[in-house]
Amino acid sequence: MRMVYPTKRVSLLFLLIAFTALLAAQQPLPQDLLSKEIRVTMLTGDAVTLLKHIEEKENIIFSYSNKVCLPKKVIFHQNRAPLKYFLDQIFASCYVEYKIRDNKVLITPIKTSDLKLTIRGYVRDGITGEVLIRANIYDFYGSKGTISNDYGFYSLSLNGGSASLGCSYVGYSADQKLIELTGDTLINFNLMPMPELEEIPVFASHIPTDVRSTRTGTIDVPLNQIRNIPSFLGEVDLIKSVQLLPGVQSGNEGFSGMYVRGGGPDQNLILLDDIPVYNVEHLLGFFSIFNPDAINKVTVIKGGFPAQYGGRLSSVLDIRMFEGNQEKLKGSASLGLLSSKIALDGPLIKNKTSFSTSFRRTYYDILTAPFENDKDERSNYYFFDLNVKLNHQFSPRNRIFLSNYWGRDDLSSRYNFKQVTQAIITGEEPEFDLALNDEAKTGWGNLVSALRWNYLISDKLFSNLTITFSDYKFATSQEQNYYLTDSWSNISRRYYSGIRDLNAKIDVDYFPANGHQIKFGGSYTFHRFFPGIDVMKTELSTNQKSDTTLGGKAINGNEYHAYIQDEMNLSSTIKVNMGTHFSMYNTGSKNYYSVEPRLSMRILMTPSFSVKAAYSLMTQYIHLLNTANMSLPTDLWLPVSERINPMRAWQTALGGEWEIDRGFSFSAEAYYKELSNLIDYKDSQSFFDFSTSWDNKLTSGDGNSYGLELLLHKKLGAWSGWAGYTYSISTSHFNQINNGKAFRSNNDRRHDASIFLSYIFNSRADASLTWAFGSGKPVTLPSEKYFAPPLPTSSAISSDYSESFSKRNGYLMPNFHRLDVGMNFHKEKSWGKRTWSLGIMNLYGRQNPFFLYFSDNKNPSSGEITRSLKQFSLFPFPLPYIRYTIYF
Amino acid sequence: MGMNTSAWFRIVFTAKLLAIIALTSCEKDIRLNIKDEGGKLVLFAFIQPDSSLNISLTKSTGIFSTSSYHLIQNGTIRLYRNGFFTGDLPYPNQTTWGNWPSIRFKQGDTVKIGAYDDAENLVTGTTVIPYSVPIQKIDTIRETIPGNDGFPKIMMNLGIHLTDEALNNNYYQLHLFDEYWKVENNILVHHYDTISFSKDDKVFYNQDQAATSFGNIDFQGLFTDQKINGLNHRLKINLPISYFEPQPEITNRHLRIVLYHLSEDYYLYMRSRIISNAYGGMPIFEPVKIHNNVSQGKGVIASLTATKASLTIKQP
Repeated sequence: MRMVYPTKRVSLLFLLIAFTALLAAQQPLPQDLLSKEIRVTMLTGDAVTLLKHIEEKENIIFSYSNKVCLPKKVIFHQNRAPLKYFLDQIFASCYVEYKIRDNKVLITPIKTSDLKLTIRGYVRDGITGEVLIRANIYDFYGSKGTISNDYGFYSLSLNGGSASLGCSYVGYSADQKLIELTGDTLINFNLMPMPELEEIPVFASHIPTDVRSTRTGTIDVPLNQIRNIPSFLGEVDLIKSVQLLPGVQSGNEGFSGMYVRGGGPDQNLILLDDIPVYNVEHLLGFFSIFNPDAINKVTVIKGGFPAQYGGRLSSVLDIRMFEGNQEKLKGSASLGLLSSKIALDGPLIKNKTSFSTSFRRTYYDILTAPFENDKDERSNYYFFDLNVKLNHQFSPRNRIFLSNYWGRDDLSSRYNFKQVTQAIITGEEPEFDLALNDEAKTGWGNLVSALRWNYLISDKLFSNLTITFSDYKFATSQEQNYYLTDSWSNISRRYYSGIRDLNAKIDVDYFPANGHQIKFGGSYTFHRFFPGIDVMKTELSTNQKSDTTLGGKAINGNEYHAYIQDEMNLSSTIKVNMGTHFSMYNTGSKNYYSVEPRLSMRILMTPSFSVKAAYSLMTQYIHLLNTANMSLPTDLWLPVSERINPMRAWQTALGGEWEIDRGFSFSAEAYYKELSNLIDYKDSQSFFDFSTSWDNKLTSGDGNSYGLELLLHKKLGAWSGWAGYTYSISTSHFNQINNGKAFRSNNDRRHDASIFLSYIFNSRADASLTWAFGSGKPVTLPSEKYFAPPLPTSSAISSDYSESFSKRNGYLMPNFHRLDVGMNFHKEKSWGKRTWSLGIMNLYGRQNPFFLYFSDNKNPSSGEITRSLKQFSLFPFPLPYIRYTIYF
Repeated sequence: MGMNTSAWFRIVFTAKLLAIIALTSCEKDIRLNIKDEGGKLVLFAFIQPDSSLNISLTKSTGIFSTSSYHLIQNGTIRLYRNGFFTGDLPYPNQTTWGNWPSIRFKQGDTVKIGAYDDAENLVTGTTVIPYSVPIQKIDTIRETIPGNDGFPKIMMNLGIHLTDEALNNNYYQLHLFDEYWKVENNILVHHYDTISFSKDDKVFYNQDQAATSFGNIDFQGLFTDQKINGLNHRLKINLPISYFEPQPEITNRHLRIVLYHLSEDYYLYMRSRIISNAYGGMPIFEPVKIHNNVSQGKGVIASLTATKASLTIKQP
């Protein structure tokens, strides 16, 4: 047997290719004729005349049947160009193809049913013009569909000919258009909001978006329902409403911390119009910063993360603000116990430019001001939020958006009033008395801004370029005046911390074919961390001034992300979304990088039931250094360092989505998640120990979490609401904590359940209730006391005993549960509508644990001292609220 | 820097407190099945070379006990020096400290102390007594700097020169005392006051760390050699000039400087006690674990060596 060596095979193959190429070069290629440059002298006429003119001038024969459309009037805009240019000009309004036979050009019509055409457009609210995100668009004849993206844009590839295009969105009347497709077409849908009591007309072959989607662990937060949830002091709170969904838990009762599938609050990527927001709390966590009047769409992603997201381990809370009514000026104003709100939106240039703005402010300080003005010592507190969004459409393909949020909490107090002679301060005559005081201020807040440019590159290519700025700052300051007999000094001390980001990113959606969407993009973030900086300024009446800056230096970091994801139908029932997210972090002296595969798959078992599975790997380069075991504005965001590695987590999930009836669904999902390089304080270390560098105070460890989440959700109709249940187990393991033994994670709650029910009596009244239950939160409690001797070198350590903790998070607090109820009374007015909202939080006065502590009790009659474990509770009684809102 | 922990808490947590008060709260007794872990032997010794030996042996109590600890009966102390058993000592009944004046150790000694009671549960801990670190030199520089009230203050910049040994991690504590004799009611009274000094030297806090005015914990002069490992260092302490100026009715005044070289266990135990004390059992913080090096029981066997120097203040 003769052996053929590989090198010989390659040589033979090369010769064959070269020979074939040589032969081919002898034949005139068809495209040569079409690209042949020709000159015409006749620049206008009907199609037949112009074709004859070219035949005569260039010795080319055109052959076409009477089925080819022949326009009556054609104008050439140049007289010298390739032949194809002139043919395309002649048949610009027709669908024809060219075939070349020697010097003959055969022109044949294309059947419209053979054409691959693209329908694109936007889905909007028919009244306000707001875009509708993840709306369902479906061609009933071709059984092809898609959903709108984050900007309401969709692109659907169909064959030419007849199409029956439908569009539906929860809470809106569906729309259906019969069209004859002969070319690429722009079709916008303007859906009308449906009266809440009306039954929903749904297409017979409609497959619900949630059933069709590949996404696991994703919940589109029902904003219309959330706006009716009974709320603390009448303040509708987005984050607390999200905490009622399965898989999302609150830290402490009444606080805005989010714990998702065993992760901490710093593992949530909270995006407001694509801008990361680092602190979402007002009043130290009793309220969240998001004003629901400014919010258009909220999506919570707990697992199965699409490749476009990165940078956090446990969840993405994607919040989209309203763009503004395109048609007319609309607004609302609301008066509550704690705050008042006003929201306005409307067109600036009709169908071109619109705006949306909302403002909320507490008025405790304003209401108490008249009573405090006469006092020498007084304290004030307020918070506010301002959301402003502008958008302008330059052309159907170009649109820009400017989104802004500014919010702040401020607490101040004035004290130590003194009368001093003015001459002491200014050194000038005449002398007179002046009142001076000391002052302390504490504040924190976010300023975020995004400039976004949507550009439709082609009917199948949608791009989004965004530049964002996010600044979170906490500051506390104190100003004190000191007086001597003939001089005065003023000392101001200021401490501040925070994080500032500047980010640029691009996202591109490409719709190559039906059921096939490719998304890719990249981003760069410049982080600047302020890990606690002290500034002291001194000013004397002698005009001497001094500035001293102490504490942490600002730390810079560069974070890079890139991704590509491909969502496609593998068959009529199987759809996958696969992608990869790349990221890198540069600390200045060290680079960390990560390659993160993402995969989601959906199998459509029936048109109303699908099974889904997902895998994702996530990396996080920044972390939160907690002040205490609850979220506080003083917590410090800090980056990875040479010692602190990035946190990582992988997660896999398996679930099912069942649309039981129209707008009534049930989903179940089981997940398993492993986390590594988590950080925590070493035993015996604390935030307030500034003698040790922050990365030396921390230690790293691992964790895992697994569980089952169930959600029964009725979205529409007189009765609506949901019931959610979560069973989960979360464990942490750090070599330097708890003697190296595994322990329950800080928010490991075994059972978590919630029910929200809303009933619309008629157009004038509706009622709602929520009931939330959570099994006890883990807590570290001492189990032993022992002698604490005085030390030979210590002056003042007061207690004569120490407490010993046998296990971190070794005990469970009592279970948490609470029932809230509320009612809304609406009345139509000539100018619009008014609504009274009344309700009661904690209807049955449940005393839920906030923290536990040991205390000695003395029996007043016997004098006997006993020791017991006590529970401290917030809001242990029914707490009513009232709010008045007008819509105009 | 001026704003202390309490100032910060007053400002920030006032908000929380106001909200809590405004919205009212309540407390109540609850029952949890808490494991009662009392009854362990607790052993403490802070050994100083050439000083009499003091050892504490007690027992822990359950968390619900109203006693802080239990005294023991029939305890026995077992001593080892540099790996050799030196004898069993009966522990005095019902007392927190036992004292053995005749037993003394030297710098560099490895001391292992065991203890057991009737139940014969043996607990043990070990320490190596550190060598003293000499104070090389003391100098003073008079300077004018802004005081806490902003007005210029004449201060004495006191320099304490020491040389850190490079091979081991070293742990220190600095104490300053004002010793003087003052005529009070025609009687000459001896005073020995601890001087509280600001911890501005780089060894006392991390200047790259979060802010001092935010509420630092006073570690009472504890420091490590993390920033001065193997180096000569001038410890800079700013003291009010009043300590160095002649005062009427005061005679024979000395600034006493004590530099302690601590065993690691002493340093860690004292730090954890200070942090735990600073948090005062506030439940919003994760409880601080108190350092422990006694196996099978609780407590710390630790040691320290003092180096003393003084500066005599001329009096009229």
